Amino acid sequence: MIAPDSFTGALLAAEGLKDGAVMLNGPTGCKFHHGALCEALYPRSGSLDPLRSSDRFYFGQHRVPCTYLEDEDYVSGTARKLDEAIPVILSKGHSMITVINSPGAALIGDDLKRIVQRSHPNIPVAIMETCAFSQSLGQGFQDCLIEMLDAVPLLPAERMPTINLVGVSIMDHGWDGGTRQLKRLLSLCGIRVGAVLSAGSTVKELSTAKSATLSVVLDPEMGSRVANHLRTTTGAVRISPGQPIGFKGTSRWVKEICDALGKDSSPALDVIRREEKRCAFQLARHSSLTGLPKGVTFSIRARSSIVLGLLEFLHGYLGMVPVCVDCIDGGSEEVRAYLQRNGLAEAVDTVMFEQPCHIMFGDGNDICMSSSTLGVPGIEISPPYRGVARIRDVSLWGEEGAVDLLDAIVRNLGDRW
Amino acid sequence: MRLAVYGKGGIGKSTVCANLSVSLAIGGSKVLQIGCDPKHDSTRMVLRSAQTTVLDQLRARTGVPNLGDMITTGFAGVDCVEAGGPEPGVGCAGRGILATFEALKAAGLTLEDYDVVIYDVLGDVVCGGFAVPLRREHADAVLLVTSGEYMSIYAANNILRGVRSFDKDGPRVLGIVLNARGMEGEDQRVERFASSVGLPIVARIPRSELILQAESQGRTVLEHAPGSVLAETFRGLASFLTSSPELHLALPLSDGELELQVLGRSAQARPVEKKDEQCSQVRKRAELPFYSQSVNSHSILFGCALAGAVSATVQIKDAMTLVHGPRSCGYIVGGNLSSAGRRAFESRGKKLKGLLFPGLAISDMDDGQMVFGGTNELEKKARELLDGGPKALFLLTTCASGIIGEDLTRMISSLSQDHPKIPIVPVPTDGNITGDYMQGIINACVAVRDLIDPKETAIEGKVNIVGEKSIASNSADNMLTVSGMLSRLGQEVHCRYLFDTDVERVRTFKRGSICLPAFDDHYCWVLRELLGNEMGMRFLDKAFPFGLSDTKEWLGELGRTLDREAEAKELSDELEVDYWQRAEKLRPYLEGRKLMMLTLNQEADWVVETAKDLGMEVMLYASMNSVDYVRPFHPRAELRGVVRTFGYSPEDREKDIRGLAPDLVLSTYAPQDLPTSCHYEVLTLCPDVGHLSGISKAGRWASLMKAPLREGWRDAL
Repeated sequence: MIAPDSFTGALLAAEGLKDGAVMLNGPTGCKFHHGALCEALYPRSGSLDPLRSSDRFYFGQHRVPCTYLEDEDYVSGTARKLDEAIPVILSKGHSMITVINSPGAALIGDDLKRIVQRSHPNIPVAIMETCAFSQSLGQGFQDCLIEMLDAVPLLPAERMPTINLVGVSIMDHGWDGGTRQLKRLLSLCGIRVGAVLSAGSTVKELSTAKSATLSVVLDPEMGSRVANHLRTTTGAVRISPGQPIGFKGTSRWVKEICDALGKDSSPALDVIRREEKRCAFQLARHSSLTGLPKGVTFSIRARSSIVLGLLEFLHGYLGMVPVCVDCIDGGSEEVRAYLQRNGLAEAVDTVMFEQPCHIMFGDGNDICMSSSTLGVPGIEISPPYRGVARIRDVSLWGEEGAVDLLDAIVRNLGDRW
Repeated sequence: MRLAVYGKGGIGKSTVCANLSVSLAIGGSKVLQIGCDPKHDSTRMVLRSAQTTVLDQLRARTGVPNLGDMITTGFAGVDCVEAGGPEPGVGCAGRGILATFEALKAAGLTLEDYDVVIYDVLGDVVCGGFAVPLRREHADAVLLVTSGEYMSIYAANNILRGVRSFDKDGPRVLGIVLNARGMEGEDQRVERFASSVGLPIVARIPRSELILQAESQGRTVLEHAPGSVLAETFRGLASFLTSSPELHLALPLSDGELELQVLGRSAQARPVEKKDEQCSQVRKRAELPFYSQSVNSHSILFGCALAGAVSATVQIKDAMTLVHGPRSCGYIVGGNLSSAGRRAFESRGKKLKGLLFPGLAISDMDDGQMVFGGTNELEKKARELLDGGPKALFLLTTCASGIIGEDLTRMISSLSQDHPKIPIVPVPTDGNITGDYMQGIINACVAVRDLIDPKETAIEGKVNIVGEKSIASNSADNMLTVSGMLSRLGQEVHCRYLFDTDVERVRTFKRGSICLPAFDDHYCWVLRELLGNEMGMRFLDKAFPFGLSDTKEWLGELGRTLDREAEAKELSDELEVDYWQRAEKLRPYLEGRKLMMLTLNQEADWVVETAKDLGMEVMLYASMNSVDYVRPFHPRAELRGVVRTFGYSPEDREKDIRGLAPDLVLSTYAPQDLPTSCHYEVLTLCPDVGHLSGISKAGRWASLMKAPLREGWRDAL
């Protein structure tokens, strides 16, 4: 599967805003997949009836309206269609619009800012004339997010006693439920999350994000430059406590934030510890009968920061053994160091689906393949997913994420061992 | 001041810019000169040598170069940047200008640090890339350089057109610099033009050997001969620029006015027919075969040709498909395929590795390749793939590689020489420039046809299937149904064109004694033309059947064509018995029930037939057509009494549900927020083939009749 690049990253950043919209200046071929992806990852409508989105530029989808560029537009420019499209999008009541050029449109060189201003928008408009070509998902995501932050006004002027979660996208597994859990844990310590950049936040929260005191980067690939931008422009301190995966990882994450703000972390740590003890009791019973999950082999494919968090949980905490590790963003030093340190370096050289294992962690495609080619069960940890809809908002984050992971591992292994 | 200097190529812009920069700098201004000409000689006279261009630096390294690496300080402290460009004939120079400005911005260039910024721009505003300096955030004034030659004035007028398209909100043109060539009547001609467009001539630079002498030493006139009259002319121009001069509107002339006022002759009327011919490639296409309905009808293009073509070529399992473009194209295309693969696996347990992990690669064109061209990297990628030993390699282009004019011919020739046994097949797509999704599938079918060995001959008992929809999740099940029926007639499927097949089966395509079209649609019509009329393959008239009567007709025709009438009749009778046995079980639950059916532009006679056979009353059979969907909707004659074929709206739907009071509404998508007086059910876009198409769905209709009209969870919405 070819990984998404900076173009998709930019679209995800803009479509992650709760009350924002994307105007894609590009052909329908660039729209349909992203429209479906965004609606699947961040549903905003209860119906997929295309007649409900029959307006021009929408083509039966609620998301990612586009200018349907065609051959003559690449020669004559896209101004005419943008002039027609932008008022339509403005009329939908969004609080912000992000105009994004498709790769082809980026080659034309139209002055999007000038064209957009002709429609006299009364809401913030961010513009991405180019998302860079074939660069990482994180680059496009962050470039677009920075443009969006620069496009919204600063509200209010004083610094707010809030923090931002940075580097979270709607591509993150169960991002909605996950961020809810993290907000709950932090609120136990008297810490309020002002904005999640950029997944589920409003334009107003984007404005107040510039007044927050601390930027907490969950995934450096998706958020370090945004945090640096906030530090430069607003003075917000940046920390990178990693992904809050597993009991230990979540505890460390909470403690690091509390320490940075001078807050007492014990209320949240108590909650995590209680849940950890309850799970350990169940694990002990399971292990006494089966010896599991220790020694269970697994393969994993995900972004580096997720891989690192899961390695620490699955290997370091549960005693499972990675046989194939594939970081879709090329891998990080931390992942390589972890594997080296634990004598597992060969796991990065193994070809996925060729090495037998007991369980697979990956996206829907990986799970289908491991199930059909190796007869190996799998646990989805990233999109694309297998079903049309997911009812339970399962995440990897927080103590509940750890419980959900444990439950999935035990159930998947149970009958097959 | 930020000044964009434009003029025809070779007219002396760089000379004017360099001397102007030095004059201003000597006068105490902090000056930045940015050369925006791909031939990158703008700053040579200021620096006394050629400068490493921004694009060269971008090409040589990953990431953005430092500002210090991009800016070189020259004579009199003038800071210089040279954009550079690709080799002539490759890549996209306009994109190079865009990339340069992006790099300067990313490196933190602050224009406010300079008193004057001068952009020296290639001859004409030929595309958006070369118009970047005209953007308000870059240039607040424009200076035209021209001689008295007609083409030079013509270019100046064109530049005014470009400026006008940017400047609806105010004047921005400073005036004209006459850089004389020494021709007779030159001053008068430029004066006529200046007067016609309402611009002053702000400097007159005479033809002078001094300029050549200075340039031969790599210097500006200001440095070479500071006491000369010519140097004084440049100083005068600099002084003018720093005196807050008046700006003027861009008021270009029409071509006719230009010829009349500048040359004193009437312009030839432009032949309208020729313009139409040049501008409407689409119209020319329509006269040719093998085009999709959208392309033929000039309607909006749904999806892109690249995605369609890939969806076809990856069906040849032992071949590789290489896409030349940015990674996003590969992700989108692969995402569409894998989505279908997951659906097939989840809903029907069908493992379609070709969809989940297709034989697809992408050249990952980056920013540098968009400027300089990317065929070298593409060739490298192609060689890697060829070393893996695919049975064929398909090369497809995206709109990005198409726009910059990538030519794959030479590369294919070279690859073919080194790998003579592996067919390397280009499929023309250029993203959506060639057309829509369907056009891509068609283009792939046309390209793959070259793999078919014309010397092969038909073998009795083998048939080909053509025109299946590769992303439909029931294609594999439908194949099982069709294969089952064919085996009763002593036939086996040889090649599926193009679905779940391999190069050898394509090569021996003509071993199939007859082609069976999967659908009665435009795609299959094209394949009839392509493979039937042009390659002499026999085609069955009737497409795969849906529902009982359709299946009986199909079997009848197939039996007659293959001389297997008795077997076909026997099978047909068996299927009919099976159908009615199932129908009788369902009839008690559905007889007398009222059905309303709303399709999204597809015929569903198979549903109507089943409903009638079950004793249901079909109240309405409507197609919710819109002007953008062009597929015909022509239900069978006996069903037409209740049909609405065009213009059925969501408002009509709600009104009819209230007025007709159906028990069941079948719709392509189950609508929300409609009256709760009936049951709603989803009508599949791609039905199952065979006599049970409708009956297999009717079992669920019967179940719905036993369920509450409205589920409790809806109250929580």
